[in-house]
Amino acid sequence: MKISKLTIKNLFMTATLIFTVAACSNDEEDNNEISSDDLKPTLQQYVSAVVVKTYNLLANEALELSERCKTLQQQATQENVQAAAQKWIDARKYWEESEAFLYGPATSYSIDPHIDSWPLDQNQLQQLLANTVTMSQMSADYAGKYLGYGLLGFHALEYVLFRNGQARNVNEIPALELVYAAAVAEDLARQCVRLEAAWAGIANISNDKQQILEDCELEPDINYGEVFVNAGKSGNTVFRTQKAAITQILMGCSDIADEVANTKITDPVASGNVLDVESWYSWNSITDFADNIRGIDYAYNGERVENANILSVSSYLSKINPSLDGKIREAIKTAIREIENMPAPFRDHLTEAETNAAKTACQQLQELLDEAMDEINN
Amino acid sequence: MKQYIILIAGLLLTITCACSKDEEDSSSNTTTLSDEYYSGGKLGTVFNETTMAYEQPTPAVENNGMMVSFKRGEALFEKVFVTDTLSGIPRSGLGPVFIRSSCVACHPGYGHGRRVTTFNSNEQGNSYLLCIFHDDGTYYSQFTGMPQTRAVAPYIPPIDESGITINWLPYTDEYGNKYPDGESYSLIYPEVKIAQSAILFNDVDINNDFNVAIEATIGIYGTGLLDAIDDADLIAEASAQQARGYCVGQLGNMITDPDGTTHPGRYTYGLTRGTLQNGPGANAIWNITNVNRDDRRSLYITAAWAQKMEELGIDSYANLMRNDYEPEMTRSDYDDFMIWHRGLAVPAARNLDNAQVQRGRTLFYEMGCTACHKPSWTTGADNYKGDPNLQKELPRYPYQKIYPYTDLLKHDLDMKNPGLRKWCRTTPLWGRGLSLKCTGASDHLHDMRARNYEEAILWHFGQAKPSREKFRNLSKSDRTAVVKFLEAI
Repeated sequence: MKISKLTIKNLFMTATLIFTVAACSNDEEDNNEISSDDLKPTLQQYVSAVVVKTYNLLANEALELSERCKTLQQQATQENVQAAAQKWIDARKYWEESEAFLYGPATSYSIDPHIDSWPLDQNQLQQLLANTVTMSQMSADYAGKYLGYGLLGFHALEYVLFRNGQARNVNEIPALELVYAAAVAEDLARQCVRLEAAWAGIANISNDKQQILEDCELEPDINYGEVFVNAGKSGNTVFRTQKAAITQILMGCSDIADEVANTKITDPVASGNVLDVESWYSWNSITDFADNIRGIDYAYNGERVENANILSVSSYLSKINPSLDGKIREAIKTAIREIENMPAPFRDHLTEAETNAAKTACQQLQELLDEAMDEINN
Repeated sequence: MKQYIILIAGLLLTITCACSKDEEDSSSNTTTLSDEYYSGGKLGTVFNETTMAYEQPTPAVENNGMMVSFKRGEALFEKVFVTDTLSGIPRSGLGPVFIRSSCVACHPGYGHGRRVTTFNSNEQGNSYLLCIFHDDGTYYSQFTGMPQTRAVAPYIPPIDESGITINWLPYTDEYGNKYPDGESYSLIYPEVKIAQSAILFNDVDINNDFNVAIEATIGIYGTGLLDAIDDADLIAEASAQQARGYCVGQLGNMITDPDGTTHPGRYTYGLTRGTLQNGPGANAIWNITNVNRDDRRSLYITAAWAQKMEELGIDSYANLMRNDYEPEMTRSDYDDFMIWHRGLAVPAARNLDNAQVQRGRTLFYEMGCTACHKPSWTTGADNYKGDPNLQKELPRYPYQKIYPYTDLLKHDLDMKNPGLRKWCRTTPLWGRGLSLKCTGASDHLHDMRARNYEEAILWHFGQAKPSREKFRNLSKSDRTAVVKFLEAI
């Protein structure tokens, strides 16, 4: 995050204000919450309508992907490859959107590296496929426990299901790869269900999903959504104030805007190396990037639609600084538009000229989100 | 989320003090408290208490246009390494034998690892490194200092980790684990075993002079600031402790780095690394993954393991023991990694003007904790040393007043089953209050035996026992205040 000029200006204004307020106050200890606004409904909206809803959709699609990979293993037809590949794209969309809240269980349970590490370790994969003993016991349990992150998750499945941005030719997929894919897909689905449960509370997910977690002993030991919603309550050591939780929402958004601009786009363009582009086989990068920003849109607006919900960070900020709120909403749209304007596939267009507008738009969005964090804490 | 927090805090305190009867004392306290928010000094502190608080660049990185390198270095830390060696594949060269496939695996959220009950190196957050040592503390020659439990087929690791067990056993102190006010506490410690069948070498007998323990990683934020402390100041602190005659810390051994300079150890629990540029991170990105680079072109293995691979027909001894392997990590990537490493900021202290936190601060000083958890240092000129091969400038932190709460010396806490080292470096306390938020866990001490701050304090025997006694005799509200202070810094 960078220090904005606005921050410096507000810093002195705020200091003056605080001086006045505090001078009239008898409560010396109450310095956690400057504002008396009750933001709990806003936090509740974010948790239920955005985070839990997105993870619910992700888990549903991942379970369907797992089923389709099993079907493909049993019946290796081109149609079944297409069906599995399409479901990979569907699940991937929700995962990329969820990267606007890639904190809490996604990191503390290591679900992010578990399901989204890249590149696939092809050398180890060939060793694995050649090991008949190991492959005879291949299962989701085995995969989750013994395969390293370089052999799991979306990018492992992408390798089996795609080539050159298209569903792979079924005749080119060795049978053992389908065994491997079925195991990895089921392991992926379990992790996604765990994410939903960790934010929703295990009692609030479907019975089928509860059973899955129970069977593989992946029941989360926290209800992170509850921790989030109850920010500022006595004893909440994770989010001491409601503003800390609002700031966290913005930080999650800022972090992924930064990642898209300064790593996902910048790195391969700087190196000119096509292997620095994340999606080697599906060529899904532009969709991934746009979905990352859509995740910001939803997190910021408190709904999985583009219009601001009345209970959102956007509406909260609009009361403090309507101009900044307007700029952020516009910057989100611009970033998505500029990303989708990049020529596809991204891997074949790694030039400054073709990518600079998208990168700049994401950087500008990040700067505005950082400014919002300053504004809210002022 | 920046400097304004300081001003607010400073102003609030000024106001509070203005109502006080002792205006002069209060005024001087105001200055001190405001400084203390800058845990990493003006050039090394970030005002961020989100879940990403440990992952932020210092102002020195941003001010010096190092963000592109910082981001590239960050990716090397966060993402997995793969075994492929095809040119151009990012983060390649893992193996043939390794400890983890990524750095972040052992530093979840860039913080400390967490306590676990089973040794699965695939489980991120399990940051335990095995220590296998003779009764006299020396390593077994068959194993590397950090023994490997993973290998790329067809290679076989020296230890099959399914044969490792960690048992957490209860410990009861002479007071029956009760405070004078009657409240109970509970303490546990690890006992680690490796089955004979899990060891690759026939000549290692676990029934004879064989010790095994676990050590967890520590957080990596702020390590650049610690590097900026002058060696002379570190030596002076050790001398001052000698002179005072109590809680006398041991200075680390003098270590000669690749650039020919010599420094007292200041990193790792055993103070075995003298500079950040030849420090635990510079070492780990090579030896944890076995990814070679231009200044480390051999494998992190033992001759015994290479011999075993030859016996098993997997590879030749001569090939494995070569010291002319092609670099797998480029110089540019490695330099970016070091810019990132030296560029990680310390989260600002929080809530210091809270009355309970202030009470805890007073008690922390009164109990003598600061004898070893030295609150502050002022860095030197920070003409960093250690690595003659760096081609890019690293961020620097000259003349910064920092608040790490460590003396960077070793002390004896006389713990039950201490593991490899009875004498252990005083752990920096800065930023630890954000551990639960940033990493999902808040375990403490070298093997994560303490599940919270309170247990960590209660494991302070030996040199620190007088402070432990004082803590035990505090009222419950004062004990809570001490913890609140620790959470705030």
